[in-house]
Amino acid sequence: MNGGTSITKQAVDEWLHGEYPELEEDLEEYHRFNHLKYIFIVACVIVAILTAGYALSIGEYNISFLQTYELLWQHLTGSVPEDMSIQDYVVWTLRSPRVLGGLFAGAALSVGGVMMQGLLKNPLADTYTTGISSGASLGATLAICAGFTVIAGQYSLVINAFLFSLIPMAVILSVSKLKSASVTTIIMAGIAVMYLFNAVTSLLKIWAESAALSAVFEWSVGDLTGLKWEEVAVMGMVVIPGLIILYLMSEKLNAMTMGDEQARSLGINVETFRLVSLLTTSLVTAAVVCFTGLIGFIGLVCPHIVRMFIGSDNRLLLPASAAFGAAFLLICDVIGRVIIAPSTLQVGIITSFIGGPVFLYLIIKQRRTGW
Amino acid sequence: MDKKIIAIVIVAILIVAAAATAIILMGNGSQEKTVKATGNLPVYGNANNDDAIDKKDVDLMEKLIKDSSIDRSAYPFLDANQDGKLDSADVEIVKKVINKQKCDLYYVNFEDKVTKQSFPVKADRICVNRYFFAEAVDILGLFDKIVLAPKKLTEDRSHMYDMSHIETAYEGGKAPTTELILENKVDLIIADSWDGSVCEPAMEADPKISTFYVDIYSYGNLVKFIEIIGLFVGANERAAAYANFVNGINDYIDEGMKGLTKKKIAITYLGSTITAGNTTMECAPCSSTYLVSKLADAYYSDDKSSRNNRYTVEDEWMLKNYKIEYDAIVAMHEYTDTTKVNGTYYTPAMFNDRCDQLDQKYSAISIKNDGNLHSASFFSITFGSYAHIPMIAHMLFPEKFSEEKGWDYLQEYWSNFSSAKIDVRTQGGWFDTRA
Repeated sequence: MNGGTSITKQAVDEWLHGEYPELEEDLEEYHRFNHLKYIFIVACVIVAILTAGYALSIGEYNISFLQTYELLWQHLTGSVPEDMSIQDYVVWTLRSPRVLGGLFAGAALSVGGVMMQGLLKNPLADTYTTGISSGASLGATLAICAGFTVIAGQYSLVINAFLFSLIPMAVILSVSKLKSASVTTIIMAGIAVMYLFNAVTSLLKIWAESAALSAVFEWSVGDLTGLKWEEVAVMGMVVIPGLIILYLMSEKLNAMTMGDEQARSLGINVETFRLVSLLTTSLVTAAVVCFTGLIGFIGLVCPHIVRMFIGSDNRLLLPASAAFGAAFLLICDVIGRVIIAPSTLQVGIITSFIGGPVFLYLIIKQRRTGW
Repeated sequence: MDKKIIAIVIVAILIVAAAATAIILMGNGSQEKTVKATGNLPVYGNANNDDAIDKKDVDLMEKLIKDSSIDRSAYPFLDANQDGKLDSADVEIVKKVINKQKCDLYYVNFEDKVTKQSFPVKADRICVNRYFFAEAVDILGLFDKIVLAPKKLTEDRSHMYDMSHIETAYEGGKAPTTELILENKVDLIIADSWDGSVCEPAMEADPKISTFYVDIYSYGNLVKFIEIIGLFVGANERAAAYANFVNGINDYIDEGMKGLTKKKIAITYLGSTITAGNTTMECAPCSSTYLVSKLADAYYSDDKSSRNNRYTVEDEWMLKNYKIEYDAIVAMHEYTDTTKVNGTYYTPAMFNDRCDQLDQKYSAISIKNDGNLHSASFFSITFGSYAHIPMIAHMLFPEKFSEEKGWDYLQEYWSNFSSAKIDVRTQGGWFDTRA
């Protein structure tokens, strides 16, 4: 049913072709405002690229900025000198997957936050506060600590994380169907599930062998260190199509934010849309969380910051949040690598240190205007 | 609709609970371990399974090759090249090891897996990722080869060692990063068993790097690691001396325990502060319980509530179960032996103060007056742990094991196996020295 789109288009056409004296001025302002939004997106992408470029060149192994890119080029063209094999390994095998993985993770977590906030109509919603990350965390912990995976094989960790992330998702969907459920109720259900899963994860940690415990702790803090190309490939294979799917759903997400009844009147199958978008968000989140661990605040803070520049049109908010989230996460990772060099602070710690005060500022600044 | 929602929520909770229960029932996979402080060179080529690869192994191998009727089941490390048979190729490898020539050796690692390692191993630039691995390196006489170490060593133990040769110190008490290892051109890493994610990429980047993983929770059998690493780095004699030292302690204990019955004890663990309300016990299969297993049976509970089998009970349980579940307490105090205080060593007087506090903790029962409340510095996972056992023996059986010998063995360890020259009677907090 295309009635909704036709009605909207009709209304826009009427306005465009109407003879209002202020039409030109309004159009000019509209285009200028839109141009600013696109400039913001482009700026985020440029910052992400520049940060990635810088991140590749820093580390405990002393390689100059120019040499880093020379090595990268030599690796891609298969012409690395023999006496530079260690430097090549450092740049290509240690740093590059970390940087690319950081871009994927930041984009995925930020877009996940946008989707959760839009679907649940709650500014506090993100994959962490709704328990989805905790579910994925439990799935990964079970795989790491006990070797318990639902499906065996190369991608058992990702699949475990995804399947367990569906449990909190199912709880949220169920609670959202309650007639008396407010947006607060739904988010509190998510938080309750988050606490339950974190408790089970803690229980597993208590009985874990030292080797597994160390791995789980590192993972629970959220870290990009040690990402391998195979892992980044899996992340990319899930995150890229997932983000494209979510972007294609952004127009309908705009309708969903108006409320279920309004969305239905515009021809959207609300239940199916909600299910598909939550499933996709869970999968994208799980694909990141199972390799990087729990990185907090990206999904919560980044969408709110981006809204200040872009507004709430999800057609622009989604790609902007993806670019901003990617840049933000990578900047946090760089800070973690530089601040107490030669040791490294995990990126999850940095995002929490930065994200907490930023979020508080946003709450105070927007207390009257809401979100 | 409401019932449906409740059903979904219940199912979700049941799934989570089932998963957790499954994990609990599956257990933590730990196997029963036994103390074996001798015969700890599980390297293929060590034909007679003693503590060295030498001419005796060549002689044995040649004898077995000549006479195939001899039962070989008592010699598990004959196949030096792991090709499934014993022949002259295996003898050649053993001869190369004796002559310190390049070859590939196979040994059984901490996971009981056969691991290939090139021989000999260069140890000119060593990385240790825990401060007590520095002890292992020290035993082998290679302390001055450490170039990369945690600040837990370089700062917290600056009063013990000359560490001017350490080029880079990093934060934290665990592994450095792969890049730091490569930047420091390390050739040997002594790593925790769970540091593979850091060490393996370093070895992949620079194949000249060798890594030996040490399982510090290996239930009292740290001698194995010294002997294996000692063989590969050419410190056989020092490794053998350490093994002989440990063997000597075992023999001393065995001799003294003749005719005696083991005691029932609780081994308790105390951190930097002695807290009221709870007592943490070390249960089997922790290292400490195995180290004292010739002297006493340490309290053990199936109801493990913590990793590495530390079991926390309320102090009431301890008061209630004295002379029921245990007859004596051996309290292990961490952070007292060589800890730096005001730039120098922890002192015996400070240790005695801790013992006074511990007395208070159990003052409601007669354990102190009965002479059954003992204190020692932490002796669970360090390479010097064995040296504490004679003094523990004296505490539990004063009529059979002398205090003098207890101090002598500890002093012997620090004098002969460490570059830190410590007078244990005046430096460090080791044992309760109150009258």
